[in-house]
Amino acid sequence: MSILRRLTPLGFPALIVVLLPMAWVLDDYATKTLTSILVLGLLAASVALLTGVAGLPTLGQTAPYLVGAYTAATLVRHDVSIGVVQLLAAAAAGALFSLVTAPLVVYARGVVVLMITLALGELTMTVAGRWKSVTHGTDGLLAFAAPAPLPGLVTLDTDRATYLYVLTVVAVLVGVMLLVLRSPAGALLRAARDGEARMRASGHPVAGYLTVAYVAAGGLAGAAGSLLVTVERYVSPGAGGFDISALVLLAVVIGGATSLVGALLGAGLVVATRDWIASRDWFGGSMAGHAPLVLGGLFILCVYLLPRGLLGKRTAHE
Amino acid sequence: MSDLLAVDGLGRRYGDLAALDGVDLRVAPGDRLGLIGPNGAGKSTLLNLIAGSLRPTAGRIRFDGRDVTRLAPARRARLGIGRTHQHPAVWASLPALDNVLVAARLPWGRFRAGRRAKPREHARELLAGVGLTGVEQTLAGALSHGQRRQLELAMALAGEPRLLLLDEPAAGLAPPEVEVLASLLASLPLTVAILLVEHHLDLVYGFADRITVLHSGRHVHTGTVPETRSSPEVAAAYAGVAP
Amino acid sequence: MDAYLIPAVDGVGYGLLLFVVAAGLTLAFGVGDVLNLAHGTLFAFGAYAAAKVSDGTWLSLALAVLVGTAAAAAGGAVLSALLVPLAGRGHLAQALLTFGVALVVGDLLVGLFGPDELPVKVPALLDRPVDIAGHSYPGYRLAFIGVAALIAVVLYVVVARTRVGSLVRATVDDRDMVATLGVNPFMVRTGVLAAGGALAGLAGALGAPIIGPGPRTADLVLMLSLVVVVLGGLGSIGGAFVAAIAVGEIQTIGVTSEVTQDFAPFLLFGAMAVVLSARARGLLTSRRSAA
Repeated sequence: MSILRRLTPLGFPALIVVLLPMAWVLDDYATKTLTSILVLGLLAASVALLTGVAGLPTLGQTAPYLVGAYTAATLVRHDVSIGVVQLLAAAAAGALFSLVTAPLVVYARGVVVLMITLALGELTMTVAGRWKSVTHGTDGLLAFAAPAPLPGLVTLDTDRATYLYVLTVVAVLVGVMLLVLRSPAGALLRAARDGEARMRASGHPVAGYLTVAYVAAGGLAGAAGSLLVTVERYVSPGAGGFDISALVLLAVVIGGATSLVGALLGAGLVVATRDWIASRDWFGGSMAGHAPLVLGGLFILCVYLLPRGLLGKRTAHE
Repeated sequence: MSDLLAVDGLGRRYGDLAALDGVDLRVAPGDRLGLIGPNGAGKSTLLNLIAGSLRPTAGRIRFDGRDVTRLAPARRARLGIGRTHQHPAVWASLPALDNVLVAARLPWGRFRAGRRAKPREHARELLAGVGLTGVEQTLAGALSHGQRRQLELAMALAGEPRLLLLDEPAAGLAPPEVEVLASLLASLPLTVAILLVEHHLDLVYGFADRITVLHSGRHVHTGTVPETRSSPEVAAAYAGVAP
Repeated sequence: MDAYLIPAVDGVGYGLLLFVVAAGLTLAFGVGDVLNLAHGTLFAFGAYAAAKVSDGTWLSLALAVLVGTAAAAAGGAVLSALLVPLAGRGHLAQALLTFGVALVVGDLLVGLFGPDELPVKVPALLDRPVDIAGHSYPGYRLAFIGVAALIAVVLYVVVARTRVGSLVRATVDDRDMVATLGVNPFMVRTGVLAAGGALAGLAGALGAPIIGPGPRTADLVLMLSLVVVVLGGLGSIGGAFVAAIAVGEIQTIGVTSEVTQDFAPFLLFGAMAVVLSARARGLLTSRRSAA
């Protein structure tokens, strides 16, 4: 079992408790890095929800992520400056996008889902690049104004404030998801993943359950997109490229596919490893510009080395 | 007509091959019907057609007066058709008790009226009823083959079916386990009609009130146990004579 | 209507190109049981070969096609070898390995050839416009349509009419049955990945003037061939052909028409939505799901 899976029983609250004081302990650069890790971690959690819990392996969560990010950026540009409003709008946009695309995904299984979601992610990125009137194409949208999280609070002008905002949002969203997954809803989803035929024989509408999970994951990804805009103050189609899909899926794989918290930890590990490799002097210091190479290499290593059949051997679906 | 299940002219073809051809069947509430026949007779095909996991190419299925021929399996299950599978289908990553709880739930999670007060107690009773004690919290994936069979039966019963389709429950069981299965079958609620597909003839003869025999996709005989045992057509079918 | 003639013809060419690529992907998936996410990268091998080897002479064009096809075929074979340690690990692990390889090799290609799209030289004879119904049309593209159509016909004949083809179709229908025929599964997978790769490389080398080599080429080709395979239905040559032409037309007409320009990428979404919901739970799940 993955080391990270063993750690997660220590509790999601423990993780938050550890991360909270980092706002004051770390320097600005490390704070910014940790903030980015949290954003990607939330996206990875949405991938884990689909891949591990619902049994729908996906390379396409960058689609609702981009939809959410562009929604948030557009709101910023229209002077909507409350962080929570941007967040809710982005989450709603991501969820709506997933609702519309759900019929494409929830009737397929296994690698076919991978195929379809990959195509969807790419298509979305292409739309982002071409729909110039809305997205400004490959130039991207600049969303420079820092938001205030709630009406009446100060705007997020410092790295520390941004970090705390992102941490709070991630903690709340992942926490709620974990609670939901502990409820009967989680059992229904896991049962659907483990044995669809038996679910049908017991009268359960499997496609309906998968659709709900898919829409929820879309909402999470959309929310992550809004956080991306808050942190980077900018979005472009490249934010949803193959290497982000790879990074996020890798995080999920390392963290143990079924664990949302594992996805967060996995994101941290992957980003840290990628940055560490980039900072090395290997090959004359040229590793820095080669994120896809590093990620791909890590991917290959993990596929070979992780024995838990990667995304689990769910014989009912393979 | 008090038929719970009425199957008329049911057929399933694959290209030129007819796995099932022109089969009629009647099941009344509370019936104990055995379905037997040599390999390839079409027993599992018939069971799957009734359960809905296969679509027929000919014929009609009515359940409780309602045409269910085109209904999806989940719909039929909600109407009261329960089933078990040849390879016991349980949810491996959930504990045994949770398997029964999920199976007892209606779509979107509610429990049936009458079970809402104490669902866990009821689930425990079901487990005890099929002979599974002490494994409530064991993950279903860790149970033995025989225990999974028992669990799936409990799951099927949790759905409060009016017709229960059992697909070769004795497959893979050792003789002592078959004994246990036989007494388990005997203890099933009399309000539930049961269609038992089986190869294990003694088990069927000891359980069923009536027996239907299929051979090469066709109906060959329906009758009481003594009638079936002494039927020349049935003997011929098992001897490999073409129908 | 007139304004659409040229893009429509373009669409046929684009579609035929996608058909050949998608055929390779379907072959690997249907017969080899591998979702090869590095398929677009193999196309890029062919395209880069064309850019670098072809210098305007017929000989160099032939050489480019040879080099591109061979390199892509070799790539497919290497992938099959890389999959050996994953025996018994399931389709997802295999697909993800090919994904990792696609990332690595894609980055190496950019490192080797630079981050820009490379121009491709075509032989002078083809490098001039030809007259179609009063419109002038690039000669190479017309020739490409002819050659690609020929390849498509050959593919159809091989699959539908030869013994190898019937073995392919049988495997797609029922892999376990064919396994009992005593064929070495590793050799089958290597052969099929090499053949699928060869198709991708061939398409890349010949089609480089249409979809040129660049950093986004592999991703684009992978996405489009996935869409074609999903739309066309797995294992259906006829379906893949129709889907490929449709996608080709959407990509060309959709992009050039001012009305649909903004919506061209949505058109692909829409097409996927319509086709997949029409099939609903049917074809896609039939091979891959349990009862």
